[in-house]
Amino acid sequence: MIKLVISKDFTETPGARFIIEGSYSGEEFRNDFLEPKYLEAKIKKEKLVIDFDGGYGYATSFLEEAFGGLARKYDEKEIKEVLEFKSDDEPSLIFDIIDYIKNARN
Amino acid sequence: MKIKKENAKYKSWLKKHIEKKFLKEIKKRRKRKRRKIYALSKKNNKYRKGTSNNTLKLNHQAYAPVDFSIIGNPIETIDFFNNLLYKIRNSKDGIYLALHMAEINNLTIDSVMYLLAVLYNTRLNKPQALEFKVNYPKNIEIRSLLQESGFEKFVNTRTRTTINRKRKNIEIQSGNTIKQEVVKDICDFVNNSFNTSTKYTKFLYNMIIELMTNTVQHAYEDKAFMVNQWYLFVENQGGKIKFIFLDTGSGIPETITRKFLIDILKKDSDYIKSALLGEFRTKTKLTYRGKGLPKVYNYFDDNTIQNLAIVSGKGFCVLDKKVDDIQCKFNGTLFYWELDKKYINEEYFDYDKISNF
Repeated sequence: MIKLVISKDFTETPGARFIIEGSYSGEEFRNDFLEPKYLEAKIKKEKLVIDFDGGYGYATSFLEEAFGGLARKYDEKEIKEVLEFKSDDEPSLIFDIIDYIKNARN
Repeated sequence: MKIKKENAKYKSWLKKHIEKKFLKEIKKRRKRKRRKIYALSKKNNKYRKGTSNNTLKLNHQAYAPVDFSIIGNPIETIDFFNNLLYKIRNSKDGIYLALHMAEINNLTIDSVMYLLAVLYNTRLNKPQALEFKVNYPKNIEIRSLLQESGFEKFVNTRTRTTINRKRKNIEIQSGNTIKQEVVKDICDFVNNSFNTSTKYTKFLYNMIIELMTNTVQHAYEDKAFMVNQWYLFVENQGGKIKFIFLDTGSGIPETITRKFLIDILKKDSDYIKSALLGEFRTKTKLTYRGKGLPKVYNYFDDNTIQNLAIVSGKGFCVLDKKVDDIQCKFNGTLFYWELDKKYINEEYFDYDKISNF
């Protein structure tokens, strides 16, 4: 199992959607953290657990660009098999992310 | 005569004489300048009346409405701002604008924010052309609200006062980029006020970042006078925290996609409602975009935030009371909402834990 704690590994204060809009964007997170870890987990045939707890919160556009963006590049079924989410602080976040992945290509 | 000119003593005398004359002239000029500055600060002087072409002329006077509030008195206040912007846009060089705020008996920070935006854009667009003179409100309470809002931080004032803070607020913040540190400070302010942890303000972090993003996304659109900038003010009043977010960019009705034929009879307030409900209106034409405003509406719908009001273009939406158009057009978007301490607790945030897909 590979673990990615966003508040520790990336930042406590995530930004918006694109790199051009400012620091710690969803695009930056996907490029530098999510995608390499996802590919690593896929190769090793392990689960990638993403922990959303800690930190100040997540903008809708950040989450959509990170996870929806990943689903626009890779197969939705494979993503569902590899990723696992943990969000005790804000459990509804997981529903939102699942929705972003499902509707990424619509 | 020739002998005298070549004489060393004469040469040194001449040099000293020229230097003396030069210094005397400089002193004279300085004295004249000092007199002019002094005269400008006094009433009824010849410079103020504009007898000379090189001096400032008192050409425009603007009187703020007695109830100076965009949310509380939208028509008069927006009309005042539109007139002010018209005067500024059409002013010639060397104009002096007197802004009278003395008679105000009700003031809300939304109008102060918009006034700051007007002053900022005037400085940006007409740095040499226009000068402001602001008359502070006579009412002591209103004057202190103005000072505690951080208004003086944005304007050049000769009489900066030491503020005896009575209110618990975060001074007006502004920017044209997404500033996470400002949002972080606001979340900390809310958590300190309500004695809660960051877990309870995650929705607020999302909401403010999304509103800032909207300002930034439309930052490069061509606009006549006002540049895109956001202004944010937060105040703790007892058990409630009030938020005012102003975006001076293009309003919601201007930035959404209009559907041909279906939208012919639609009003600005209908477009705002439509954007809040997440109907496919994003200019990017990508269905996965434009989720920020629907999320804000969800927070209002499930009572996480209260008394949400939005003013944009001609649309005036106090969401649980009145949603309609007003006669005048507001250039920008104003959001107002409140947080009530009684809804920020475990009872309201006790979601079922979800495992996975």
